[in-house]
Amino acid sequence: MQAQGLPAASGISLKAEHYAQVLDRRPPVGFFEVHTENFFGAGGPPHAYLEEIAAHYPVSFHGVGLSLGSQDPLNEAHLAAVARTIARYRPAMVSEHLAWSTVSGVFHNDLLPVPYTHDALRVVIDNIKRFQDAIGRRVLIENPSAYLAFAESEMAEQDFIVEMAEGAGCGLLLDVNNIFVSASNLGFDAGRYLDAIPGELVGEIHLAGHAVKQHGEAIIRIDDHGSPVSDQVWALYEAAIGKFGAKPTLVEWDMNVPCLDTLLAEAALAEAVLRQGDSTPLEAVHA
Amino acid sequence: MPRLADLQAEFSAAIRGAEAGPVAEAIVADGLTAAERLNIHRNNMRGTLTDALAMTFPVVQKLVGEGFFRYAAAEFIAACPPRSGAILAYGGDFSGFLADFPPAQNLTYLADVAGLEWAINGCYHGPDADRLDRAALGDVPPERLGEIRLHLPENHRLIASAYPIGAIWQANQDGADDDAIIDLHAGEDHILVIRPEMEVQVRILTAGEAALLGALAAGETLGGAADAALEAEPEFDLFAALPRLMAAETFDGFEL
Repeated sequence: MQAQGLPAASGISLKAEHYAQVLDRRPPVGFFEVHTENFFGAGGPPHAYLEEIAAHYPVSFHGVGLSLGSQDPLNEAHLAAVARTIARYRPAMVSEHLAWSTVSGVFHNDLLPVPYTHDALRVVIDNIKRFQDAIGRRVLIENPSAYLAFAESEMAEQDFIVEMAEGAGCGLLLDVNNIFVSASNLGFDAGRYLDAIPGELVGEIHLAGHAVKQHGEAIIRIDDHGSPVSDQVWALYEAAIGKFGAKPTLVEWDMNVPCLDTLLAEAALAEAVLRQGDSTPLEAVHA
Repeated sequence: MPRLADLQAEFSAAIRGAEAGPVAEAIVADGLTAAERLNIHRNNMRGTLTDALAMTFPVVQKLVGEGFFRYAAAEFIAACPPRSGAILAYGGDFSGFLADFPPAQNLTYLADVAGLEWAINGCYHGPDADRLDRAALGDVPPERLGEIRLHLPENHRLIASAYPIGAIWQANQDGADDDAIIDLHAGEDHILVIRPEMEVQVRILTAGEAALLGALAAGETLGGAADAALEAEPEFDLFAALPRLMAAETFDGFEL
């Protein structure tokens, strides 16, 4: 339960379905990650389990509701609840998203896209600074999964997030599945995206499964965290680790949550990539 | 107004309503139309919020079926979208919405069942109960017992309904008797939702117990609360009820 950063190992999402098993079995994973907002309650089983699990593992708090990309001011009550939760657990890592969810007080419960303009960049940087000041520590910000691009964008997403991190003094949580999904949905080159990211900004990597939907001629990939990581995403992850070196890596699974062993097996695949740190073919990892 | 504020207001209108509207002009089509791309976000918002409501209101969903539930949830989300990113706190207005929802009018008890499930959600996430100091309570001289003020855990909720919602809720738990017959006109139901440890309990109370606990929760002394209980239920027997309530860890502190 110390703010010492995450190990450069693989971790998994901590799901309510697995609380009791995690405590019984103490599986060998590098860390667990939770959604900060799920611990906004005062008490009850979520806190009872997390307190015990946090005594044995590093825990990362991943926020989904702060709406850092909103032109409207940050919701002070939400920010205070995040700060309270962070103060209670002093987690190894705190992260949020490059996205917006709130306008005129309505919360959309989706990570909505920000236009990559200089104006939006200033708004996001100010909000991240406000967030970091409120909790008194540096955070990581995650790149989005994109389903659309705005005509008014003035720069590529990779350039936007690098300027964002440098301007706000935060790190990046690089979601490799999101890069793959966005590259496929919007037609950009995922490899060039990785090339633009300075490794020292990357504090954590996310992996997850996505759904593939056919829309007439077009294929659209939906980042639903409901299936195993795809082979193409594993390949992109290997490229990322090859470039950045070993980084704390989370396997996320939020929909159709499988048994704990399935998640652990995915984490073991990520661990194998982290450990080899070279270009051994992926097939060898899967075998 | 800054361009970003305009864009976000237009985007919100597009995904909360049925039409893409002016924001479509700002979106690069490329293979999929702007409307199709916006539809992904519209579905995300509705789908994740509907799932959140289904988690909090499983008995309501069981009573009306998944199709009707998803329809009611979509109407609710449109009428009462979340005002906060704390999604654990979403659904407080669902009971009131169902009470006025025309397609649900023949299910007279539905809104109260939703109210009970909302209370359960609040109790689950509410503050943990303290431990009653039974030794200290045992030291209170018998002649002063009427003066003590017993505390209920802050996570408790007392609910009354004109319908037997406690029995309806119990009959819709996993493993309950599928053939249970519930008399909808059995009379007023009083329910205590409470979490002494980790598990939320739903207890059906007599009118006297409900009056006793309601008075105690409002800060009344045990003597005053017993009077309230007798008024609500003339045959109420405090000396039978109190040990039962104590054994069930209904109180987490007291003052004298």
